[in-house]
Amino acid sequence: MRWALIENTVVANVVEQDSQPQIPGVWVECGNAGPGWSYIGGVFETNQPPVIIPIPPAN
Amino acid sequence: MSIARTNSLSQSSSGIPLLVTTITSGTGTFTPQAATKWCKVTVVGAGGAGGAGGNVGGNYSNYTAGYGGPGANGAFGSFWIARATNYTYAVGAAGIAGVIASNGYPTTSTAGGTTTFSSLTSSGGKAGVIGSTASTSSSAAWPIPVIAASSPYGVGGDTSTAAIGYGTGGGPGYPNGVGTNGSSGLLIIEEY
Repeated sequence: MRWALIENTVVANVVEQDSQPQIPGVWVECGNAGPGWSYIGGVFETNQPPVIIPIPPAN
Repeated sequence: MSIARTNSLSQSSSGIPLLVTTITSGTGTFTPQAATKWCKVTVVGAGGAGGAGGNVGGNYSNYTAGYGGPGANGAFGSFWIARATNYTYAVGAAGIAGVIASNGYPTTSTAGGTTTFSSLTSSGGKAGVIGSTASTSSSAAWPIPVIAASSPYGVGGDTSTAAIGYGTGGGPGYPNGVGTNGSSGLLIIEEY
């Protein structure tokens, strides 16, 4: 399972291991959340708006 | 957690490490052997996932879709450090590819996790961007996506094919399809 390191309501890092990490830090099981996501009130959300490939110029 | 250790019959004075430890996931505390004087540590961040391709179903049926972007490789580097009693480490997790949501639009993929060994850090790769759509009346031509970024320890994914090895980016999604996950980070500790 994936575990997120939470720093100031933001996912600072994500690791994968069977049990909760025992090294220092606040580690929360995070599903498919990734670095840079927010973690507020027990909910992970991506606060990064999706980056969309711009439409190429017409020929 | 995955850890592999390989003993060498040679002494460190010969230039061959006494012990090589490879860690490909998880967190923990690493304790060098008592005879170790120096450690050469290679730190590789995880690869970002490929972005999903643009969607042309449902509300987008009159559109033509582009490919997603490839995932980036994690940063990497090798460092010599003097022996200490122990070190904490974390191996970054692979970036996870987005999905096609219930509204038909692709969701954001995630970046790779950072790999750390004591104060040494290699950042994870960024996720690929989401493919866009254009009206079929447009004469725009979508660029063919490049293969996702490789690392010295693996090969990046091609269009919707998996990343191989460690620290590599996931393949970009094809139109109306998702990309692939990146690959995990890596730690190699050579004890001398």
